[in-house]
Amino acid sequence: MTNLLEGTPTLGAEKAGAGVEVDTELVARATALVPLIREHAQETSEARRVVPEVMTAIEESGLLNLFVPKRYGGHGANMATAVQVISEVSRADGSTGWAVSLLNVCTWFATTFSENAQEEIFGANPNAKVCGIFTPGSKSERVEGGYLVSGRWPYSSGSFAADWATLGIAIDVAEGEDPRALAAIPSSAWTIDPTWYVTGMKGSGSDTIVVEDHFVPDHMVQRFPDMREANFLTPYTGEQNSHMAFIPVAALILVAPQLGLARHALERTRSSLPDKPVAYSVYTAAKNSPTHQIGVANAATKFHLAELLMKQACLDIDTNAAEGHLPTMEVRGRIRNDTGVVAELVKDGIDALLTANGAGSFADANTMSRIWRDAEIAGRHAYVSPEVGKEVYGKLLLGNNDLTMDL
Amino acid sequence: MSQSTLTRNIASEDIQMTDESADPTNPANLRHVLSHVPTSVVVVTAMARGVPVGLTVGSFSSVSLDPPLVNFFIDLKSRTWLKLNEANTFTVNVLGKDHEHLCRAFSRPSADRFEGIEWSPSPSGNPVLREASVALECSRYKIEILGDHVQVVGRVRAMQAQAPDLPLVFYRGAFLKL
Repeated sequence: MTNLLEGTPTLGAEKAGAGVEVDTELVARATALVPLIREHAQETSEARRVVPEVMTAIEESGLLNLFVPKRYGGHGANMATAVQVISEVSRADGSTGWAVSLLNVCTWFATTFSENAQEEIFGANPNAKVCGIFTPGSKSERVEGGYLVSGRWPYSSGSFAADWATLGIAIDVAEGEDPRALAAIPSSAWTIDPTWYVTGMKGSGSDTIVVEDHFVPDHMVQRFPDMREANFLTPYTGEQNSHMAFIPVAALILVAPQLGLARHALERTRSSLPDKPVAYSVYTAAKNSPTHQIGVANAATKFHLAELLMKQACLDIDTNAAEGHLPTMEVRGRIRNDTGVVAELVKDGIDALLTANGAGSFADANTMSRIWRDAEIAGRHAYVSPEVGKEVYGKLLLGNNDLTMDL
Repeated sequence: MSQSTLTRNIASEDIQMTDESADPTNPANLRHVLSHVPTSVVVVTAMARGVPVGLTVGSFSSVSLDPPLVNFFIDLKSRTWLKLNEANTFTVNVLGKDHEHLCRAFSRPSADRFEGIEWSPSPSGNPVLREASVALECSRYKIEILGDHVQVVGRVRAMQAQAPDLPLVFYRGAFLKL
């Protein structure tokens, strides 16, 4: 607990919907949307933005305010629930799941800001959706009462649907202090430069937000190092999510879509592969071919391992948040490590399934090719990168606490 | 452009090219040669953050019947494209032969484009120009960068024929008198 005076009643003590259990009702809502999202998946990729009726359906199902406190009409859901919802959306379509993932996590960032900021964002519009980028823009000039901010923030996934963005800025601090901060900036103050022309996750709308000389008042700013330590500005410290580990959540949420892509790939394989003849072999059905049996078993094992690692990481995050403190540094290191491992396991498993399904998987018209492209690009997000995660975890395990990244 | 211009033998006048003028990598040459292809004239409109936006487009054409698709191309450097890109739908207003002024109006600086223009909102709120002969309301179907232009493919969601005008046709740098 932080900043709590002795004897002061705890704000927002209601904890229903949090804890460590998955809210299966919320997950079922995502599952119910799978057919609609799939029907529009191709168009979402081609139009480079989630089809509007799909976004509307997801929002109307209450799946864009998972982490928003109940006092603003949200679910106050825990990490385990958010991950399962996002995985189900991604089982329908990777791009849609990625946008839903980023909008939910950045909206959570906004709920950790000062009470004034929360009122300005969610008081005015309880359904406010937020996107965001950590990297600082090009200018944040100290002026009276705040900062004058300019810059370009590429890869702002879900920006097409967002009402606000939490964008990285550098603030004035004493020599030697970390100047990084996030500034909440309304969509009326930015434009979107369409720059997201890529191979996978085409429909995530990860375009560039452009801001020119926008005044950000001090109460709309939160220091990044404080967020990393879960010393959030929100006064509602009775809410479980006001203690969630910032960096582990920001990283782990990025591989929730990977789980959905894995499930989709296995689902398609199990429905289309069994009776497919194996070309240039004696096998008239792949289900009788040991090569294919082993290939599919290997992939399913990797996916299962990924799901188990995810479950453990969510449990660590939710248990510690419920107890009101951060996971230990070593656990945070393990979560960052496992974030990369989940991505790697899924990428490798999907690769094996494409091999089992044959070269036809790569046809533009074959959904497997989109799943593969989505998993390959998502697994290379800088906050996911397996090598960096292993490096930092290994350092901690060997007693070298000179960290090379935030945890 | 006069009627007599049209009766001239185009081949004898323009298609005789020197080696130099036949170089398609020179934009001026390509523009000149392609001016011999008649094009339709449409105004594409949308509501971007509650503000009407529109621009004249000379590359509109139909694409597919099933699904119903149309497309056009915009210069990547266009500021209006950035605004149009933020809208989920857009409306293609096809101009008739007497509406050159609309073509010119939507080639003006952005701030002035709707000045003195009569329009009403489409089902999703996009400006439908009163004088347009046909209006097609479209959702985004495909966005692709091709060279220095972006291809915008729209799925036609609604359409209305407003006036049976002969079309406004752009040909060799001027409007064709039909």
